[in-house]
Amino acid sequence: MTVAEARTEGMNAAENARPAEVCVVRAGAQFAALPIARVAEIVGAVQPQALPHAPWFVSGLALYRGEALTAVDLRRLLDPESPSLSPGPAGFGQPGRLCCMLVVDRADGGAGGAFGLLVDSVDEVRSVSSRDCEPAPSTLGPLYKELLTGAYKQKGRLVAMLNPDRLDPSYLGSLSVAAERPSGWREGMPAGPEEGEQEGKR
Amino acid sequence: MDDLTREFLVESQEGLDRMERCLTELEARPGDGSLVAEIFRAVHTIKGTTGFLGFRRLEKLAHAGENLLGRMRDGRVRPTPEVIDALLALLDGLRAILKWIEIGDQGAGEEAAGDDSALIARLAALEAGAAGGPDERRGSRQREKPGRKRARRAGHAAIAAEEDDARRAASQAAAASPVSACPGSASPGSASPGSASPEPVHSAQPRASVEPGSAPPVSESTLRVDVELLNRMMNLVGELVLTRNRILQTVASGAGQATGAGAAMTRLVQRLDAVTAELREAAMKARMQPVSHVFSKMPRLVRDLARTLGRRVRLELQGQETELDKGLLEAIGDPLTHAVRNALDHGIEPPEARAAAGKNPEGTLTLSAAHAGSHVIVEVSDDGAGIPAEKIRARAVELGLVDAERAGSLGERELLQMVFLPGFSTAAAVTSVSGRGVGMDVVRANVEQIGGAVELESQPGAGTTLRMRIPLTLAIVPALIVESCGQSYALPQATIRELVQVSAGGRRSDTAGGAEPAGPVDVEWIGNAPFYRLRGHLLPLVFLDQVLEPACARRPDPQRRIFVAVLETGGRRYGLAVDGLADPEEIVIKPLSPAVKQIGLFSAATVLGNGKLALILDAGAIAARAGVEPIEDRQDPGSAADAAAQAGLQIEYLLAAAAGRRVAIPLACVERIERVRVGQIESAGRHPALFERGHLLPIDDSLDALAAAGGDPDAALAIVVCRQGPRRLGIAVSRALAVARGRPLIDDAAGCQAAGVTLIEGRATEIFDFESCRAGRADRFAHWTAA
Repeated sequence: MTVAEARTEGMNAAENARPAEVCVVRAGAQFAALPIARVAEIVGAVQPQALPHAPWFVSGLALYRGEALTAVDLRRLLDPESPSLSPGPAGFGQPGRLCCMLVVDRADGGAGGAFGLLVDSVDEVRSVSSRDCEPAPSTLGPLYKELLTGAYKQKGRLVAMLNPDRLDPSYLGSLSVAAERPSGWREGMPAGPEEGEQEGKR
Repeated sequence: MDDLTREFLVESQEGLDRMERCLTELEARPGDGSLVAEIFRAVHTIKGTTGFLGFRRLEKLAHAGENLLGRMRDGRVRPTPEVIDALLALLDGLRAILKWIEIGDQGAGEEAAGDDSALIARLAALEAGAAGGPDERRGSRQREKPGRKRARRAGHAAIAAEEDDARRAASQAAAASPVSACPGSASPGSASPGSASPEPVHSAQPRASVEPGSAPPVSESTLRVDVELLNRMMNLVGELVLTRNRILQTVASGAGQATGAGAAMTRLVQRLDAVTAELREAAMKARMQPVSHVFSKMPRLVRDLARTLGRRVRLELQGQETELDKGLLEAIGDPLTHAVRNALDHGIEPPEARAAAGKNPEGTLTLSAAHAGSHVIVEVSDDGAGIPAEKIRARAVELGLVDAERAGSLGERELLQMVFLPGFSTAAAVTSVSGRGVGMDVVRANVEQIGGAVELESQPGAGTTLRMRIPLTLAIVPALIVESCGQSYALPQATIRELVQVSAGGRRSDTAGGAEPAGPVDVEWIGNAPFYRLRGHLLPLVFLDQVLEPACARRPDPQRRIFVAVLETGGRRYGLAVDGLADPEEIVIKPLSPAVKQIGLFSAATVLGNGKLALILDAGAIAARAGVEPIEDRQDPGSAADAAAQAGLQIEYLLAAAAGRRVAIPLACVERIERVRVGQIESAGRHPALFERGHLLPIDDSLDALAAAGGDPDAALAIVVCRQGPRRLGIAVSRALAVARGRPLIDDAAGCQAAGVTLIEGRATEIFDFESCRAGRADRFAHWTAA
């Protein structure tokens, strides 16, 4: 058994070898998936409020059911080169674009409230069996290694499996690899079909 | 877990809390029979209900305790410290079992398996240690059951009532707690050892007036409500307040002004406003609890700690009936515990040391709570050794928190503030109680998290006081909405002292051509720092747009009016300059996630009347970031100004202009003024110098007058020849203007005379700084003379 196979086995075992229900979203040119169990609600049109001195991965505050949620910009996290979804420091004072937001529960059962994840659009909700999932490639940059638990192929495109706990702004704030925004050059992130590249199965 | 078990848990916890209070008091007043009776009742009730509910382990433990207490009640066992320890152990044991029932096995409501035989044996041993053997034991047990036959003794009558009630409670699953039936039971919590208690707690006579079997008025007028339900109510009231705000704004903007409907709408909105305000008051009041809930844990804590550390301490509790919101009360529980631990460990000295110092060997620890405006002040003060400032200084340098020279210049207040830094501890040894240096910064963090403030006061040899200022309630506060860079922000009104409208004009005055700018100058600049002169005091200004968004901030336009909010918080006083003011609003506080809180400038968020999110500014953090220093002492800045003026500190200055700046040179050091041409200035080495009267005079050009003259050898300059001790220096200026008297200016932020600046002819003027002038190194040729 090779190391890769052993790792896949471990990952499958952790997921109980059950197909997982995931919500597939698009952020920039990337597709990503989150376990639907952690998504409390999908809000269609959200206008985040700009937040001065915010960390680079936070695009602002969003009002949701009377709470001020911290909105993490998934596009900035996964696709640094594309323009961000909402006003950053440069766009201070301008109204934010309307984006789609996923309300993600915190790991401890919402004891600390939830946070918001800004994406371009929500594609679908589907089951992903553990057989399709591959572990994250080791060539990924350090930030992506933290965020991704794996990737799977679907309809000819590669969808990154995200760990919602790692997307929590408090967690990101404590990561040293997230202290600065990664440079524009793609750090090993597998490209989507728009780029015309395909990553073959290892 | 069913409702019956839940009720039982709540009541038993209350009973055990009462028991704990009584036990600690009993140690101070061993002769007080009513305390023993009280404790007995608590244990007895638990035993009664446990039997019914089937908690065998609890029943056995409670039974053992009851036996011992019965003998204490009969006077056969004295409440020695050993006995009290055993009873406290019993209490802890009971608490542990109750806790497991509550949360163990996901709240299944079952007892854990366990063995209490050691504890039971200990209790039995103490019981048997009294005169008499097993027969007496049996006899006393038999005495308890047929309670009615003993109705002659007032104490027993009450106990008989308890038994009946317990049976009735068990059979009816009633909510009313029989243990709380006795009116006297409310008092032990508020009576403090050593203070005169109004009710004669010693005699059991008042209890006799309680008719056996009747539930007294106290339990009828109160209702036990789940805290979750109250929280939900508070949230809903918060949402109601926000909706009312929006309606008010909509109506004010005329959106509802259809003919006829307009007037009716306004009336309705006013009615809604009044009702919401009242509802809000009532909801907040519902959550208020007296601080005795938190203070009540202290006697036991102090007792145990004092025993462990070998100190003798008397605890005084004051202001226990002061009420505070339940959430805030819970939040200060931990800080208070930390503070008490520190006071006992570091503050109060061992009895021998105290006697040697001429103090009472028994130290006093005072906990007090009192209302002060919109805050509650909670103080923990001891009469111990105090915090020696020198030790803090040394420790700070040792830990590398500050370098040695700066440490020497720190005032006492700043030194005490250092105690709050993480990891700071002057304890020589780490005890199990404290000394690791994690106490005080946690205290401050916890208190500041709920919007409060904490400070230390200490007098070496006399004692230390920790003072916590807690806001009365957190959820809804009045605030002023301000605008900056197109965004709205909220400023809590508690921090605002005044509002001033100023024009931003008045940069460094330009006197090169001799023309003075017309009109009053409001915002004045010393170097790069803006100040506003408010009634003779210099108020440091912080421009909000610069703090928040340096990229967006524009240089203040002299024509533009800006608004300054004079803020005072945490000992810092400054003016916050904003672009615009909006209406004051009562806002509902929405907490921010830790990631956003880390930014530090915002304390929370809120939703405005127009439905948009706004951030609530943290005035203290903004001040700290802008470098505003806290006031050294509490002196009123006004009195400082008067004092200085009366001291006749008016100094004469030579006013000079140089490259667009005005500068004042103390007349006392001016020898003469030489008018020269630029061409006459030579350079010795790389420094400009003037050869006059046989001496080479170093020229200081820190005012850039020489540089401003360009290279034109015929340009006119004035050299002000000054003498500073043995040194002679020529200051290059464009022209000398006048001689004038300068009045001192008070630095509003520091509360003392401002250094380096003076008030001449109505304008703040820089005083020439001899220390930092560039010609210092040219001293070496200052003494050269012509051969």
